[in-house]
Amino acid sequence: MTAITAIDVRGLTKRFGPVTAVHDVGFQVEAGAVVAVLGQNGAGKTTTIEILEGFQRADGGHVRVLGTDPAQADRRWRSRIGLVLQSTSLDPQVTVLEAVELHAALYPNPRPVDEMLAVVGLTDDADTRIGVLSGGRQRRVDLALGMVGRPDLLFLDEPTTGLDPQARRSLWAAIRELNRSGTTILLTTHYLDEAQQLADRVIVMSEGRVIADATPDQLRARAGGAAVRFPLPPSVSVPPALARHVQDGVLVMRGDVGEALAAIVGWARAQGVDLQGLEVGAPSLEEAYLALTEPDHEQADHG
Amino acid sequence: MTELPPIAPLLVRQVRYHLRLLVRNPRAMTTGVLLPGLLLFLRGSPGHADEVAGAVAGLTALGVGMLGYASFAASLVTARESGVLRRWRASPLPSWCYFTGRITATVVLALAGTAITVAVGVVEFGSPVHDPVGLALVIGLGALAFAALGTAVTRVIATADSAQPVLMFTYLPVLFLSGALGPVNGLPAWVAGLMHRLPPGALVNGMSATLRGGTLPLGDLAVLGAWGIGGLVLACVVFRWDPVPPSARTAKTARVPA
Repeated sequence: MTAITAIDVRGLTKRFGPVTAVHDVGFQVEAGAVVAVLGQNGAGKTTTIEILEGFQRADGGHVRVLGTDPAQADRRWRSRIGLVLQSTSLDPQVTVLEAVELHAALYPNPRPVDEMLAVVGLTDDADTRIGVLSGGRQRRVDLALGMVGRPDLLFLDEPTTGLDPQARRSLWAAIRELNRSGTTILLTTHYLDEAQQLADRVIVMSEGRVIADATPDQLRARAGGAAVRFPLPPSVSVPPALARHVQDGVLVMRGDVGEALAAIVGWARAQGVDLQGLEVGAPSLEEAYLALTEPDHEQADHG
Repeated sequence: MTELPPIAPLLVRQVRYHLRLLVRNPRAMTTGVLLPGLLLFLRGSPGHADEVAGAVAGLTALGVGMLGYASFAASLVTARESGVLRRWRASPLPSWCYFTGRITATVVLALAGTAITVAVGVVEFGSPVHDPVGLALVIGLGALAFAALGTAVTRVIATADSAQPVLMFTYLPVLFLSGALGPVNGLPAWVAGLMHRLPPGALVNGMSATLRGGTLPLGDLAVLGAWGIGGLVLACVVFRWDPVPPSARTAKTARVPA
């Protein structure tokens, strides 16, 4: 009975008046996967996710989430879905423990509340009112409320936006722990490192369409081979042969790594430039993503 | 498959949760529960028994309306703005349980606030309390009517900041014209008649009647019940779960995707 495909979307279309926000979108998410949806604001991510969550109706296409059309969502289906919304959505007047207990009671087989608080690192804040917690800790409460029902599928909408690096890392650990226990995760984020850290697969949306659907490594490979990068120190002049590789103060050379290194090292020796900061590696997911979503990579439709 | 938890305990939890939110909400506790008793205490002796009953009823109506209508609607808008409503909608709790819990908690607290105001009236001015059961019925139905209308009115309130002006302008003038804050002279007959058919007027009348004695004010109860049912039906039709997008706040245009 258990569907192996947690999310199945085909030909999904959603219009707002004259604007087509989501245009013929299709993708599948297999049970147990962590999939990140990337895209600029207005790319159609939020609309797509809201249709999957049952908050909006599709205008066309086939949508199944845990085998059910979200437009027909019932209590049973809702008890299998977890949600962490884009911004914290908590009553400031209740304590952490009160909020988690209240939500745990809604589910057929919730996690023990103590265990849940430990997983998100809020044991010491159990009796603190949510309103006086820091933003990072409030986000952990959000995560606890999304996870306490042992969901089969968790939607995470920009879970770590605005958090400090430590808070992000500890939230990532909690998300990974949940995934290991079998929860499928669909994540939206603006942080490419977050996608790289968490996701098995990345779906890139632009102007209401899916423009890439691949593993992070595949996306990086697609953006070209290895590159040599050297952030130029201030007031260093570069010979014309190298100057054409400079973007935003960074010397980036693709193609043959050996040749690129020889050129840079030769120039640096001659000029006495300190090469600290020189890197060799595959393009980052961020570079791959930017290459995909740069305006000149899109089909021109400025007619 | 594991069974979903039964509804009844969830409902009890919802009532407790909303009571907790109310008790920890300074706006609800001050203007809705404690202020009327304080105002009654401060105003000095209203005169003979009928006037005492009128003063108690008027100030109680002020509190019930502040709690059941103004504060209720304002915190509902805040819950909508902050995404709290969306979270509940996404949870396995049926929506009606959330609202039943919220409204029931408001009714309970309105009764508690009434008890305080009436107690001040009794202790300070020897207010009569003829029919406490009828009184509770009037207050309960009145708070329900206010909460139902408060739920419906959130439809036209865009943000938490704009809640107070809308709520105060729709509530205080009606309360004033109902005579709840003191006698209003020279009203055209049709205005006075209309006031009897609006929730604040029916609440003041019904409450005065149960304090002073006489038969159960069935007419006022019917008015409050009708507004309660009408408000709930209207709320079901017009209620909006999601915040009003900034683009639609000034011009009421169609929703534009973010």
